[in-house]
Amino acid sequence: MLEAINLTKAYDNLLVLDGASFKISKNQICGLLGPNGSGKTTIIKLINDLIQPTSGQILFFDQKLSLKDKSNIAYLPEKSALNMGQFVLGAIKMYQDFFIDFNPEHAKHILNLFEVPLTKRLAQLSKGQRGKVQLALTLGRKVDLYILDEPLDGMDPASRDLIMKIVIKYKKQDSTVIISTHQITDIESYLDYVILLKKGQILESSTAKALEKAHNMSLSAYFKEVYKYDEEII
Amino acid sequence: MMKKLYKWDLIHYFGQLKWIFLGTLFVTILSVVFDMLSEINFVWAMFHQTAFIISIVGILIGLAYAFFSIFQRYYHTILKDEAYFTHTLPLSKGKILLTKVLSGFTLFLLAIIVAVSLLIWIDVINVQQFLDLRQLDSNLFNMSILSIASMVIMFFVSIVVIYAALSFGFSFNKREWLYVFVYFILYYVSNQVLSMINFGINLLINPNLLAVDDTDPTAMFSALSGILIIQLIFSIGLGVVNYFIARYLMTHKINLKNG
Repeated sequence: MLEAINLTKAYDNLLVLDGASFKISKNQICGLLGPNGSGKTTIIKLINDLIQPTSGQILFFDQKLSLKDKSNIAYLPEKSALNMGQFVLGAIKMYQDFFIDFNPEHAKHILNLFEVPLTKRLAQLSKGQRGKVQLALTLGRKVDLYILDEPLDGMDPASRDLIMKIVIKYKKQDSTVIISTHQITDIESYLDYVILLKKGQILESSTAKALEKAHNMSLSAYFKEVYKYDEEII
Repeated sequence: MMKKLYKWDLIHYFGQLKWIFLGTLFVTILSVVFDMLSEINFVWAMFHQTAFIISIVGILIGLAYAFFSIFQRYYHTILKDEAYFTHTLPLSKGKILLTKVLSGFTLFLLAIIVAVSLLIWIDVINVQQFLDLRQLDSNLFNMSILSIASMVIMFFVSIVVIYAALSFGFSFNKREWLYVFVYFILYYVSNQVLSMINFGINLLINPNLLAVDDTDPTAMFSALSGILIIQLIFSIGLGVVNYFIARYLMTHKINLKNG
């Protein structure tokens, strides 16, 4: 469904993504995992056409990613991309107007589950609540690819599990979800596929089960193993 | 999709500016009412004077704020957090930019229409006197029309130029506002160079340009209108160039950051 071929991104002389290649099938929950600065957000920005690759390309359903594919991708940015002066209901109305695939009832129901008031302005909500509004709007859309950039950031532990359950329930059937995070313990049980990144390079990409089997440990334990710091430098 | 983006821009502008314009409208109505009452009792004249001044100040602030909010909106929706929504819409960068230019210009035109209507209402602008000018001095009247038209076009161009300047500044990852300022300096220099070229062209067309009799309105109008029209063509050209610069920067250079 989504394929990256030798993706490279450099800013001046700084290489932030170095020849990343991966293939994600449909109906998968894919974890884009790595510490800060590993290149997760760069990959997400490239898929969303927010930046241009220095080299390489992205294929979506075996075709070069094009403008019309944007209607088939729902993106949850790391920080709320909504106008803070807007009311929650106003934001729902706006999404309904922009996207024909948007289901406002789903969005409202998700917000009710999170107990987010619909009649308040976004500026009056907490950071976590704003993130939940953005998530509800993203999952209100029925598309083939969801890209969630750090959806668990700033969320309380109780909400994190609920978020993952909501993602599974409200995403379009057979759609793929890419979740970028460094909070692996909260999501490891939901992941079908994993892409591990370090310093702009892909360390490994395979199914979660294959990775656990190959290294004989859980995903979170392997994550800690891969990204462990050097005790001697402390 | 362009229509929707345009519509939501206007909805945002309306939400942002409604109170300042409603407030100004209210004070303007008070000014008109007090003016009528002052014919009955002179005490109302004092209230009229105060409301009249506040009304003019409100109109000017409203205009300035409307102009400012065009660029504030561009900054938020193209360069900052809301850009993560705008740039992921299934629209090309050129169409996004064009929508922003059109919505900004629509707001500017609406703000001008409202402001001028209110100024006419409180007799700051006398339409009849302006129309009478056509009989008194048709050259001056035509010159005024040409100046108003060129002012409107210049505002349209300035929206594109400021968009390009913001896009240029924010295509760097540091000292963004400094680079915005640098862009304005470059624009100013190129404008001055074009003005000199304009003067040269006019001198070629009319070698007696510097010796025009300033007591002859026809000769003055002919000399000035040539300069004004060529300047207008140059400005439109600069606007088009700036549109393509902004589009290029938006496509290839802008790197959105959170926060």
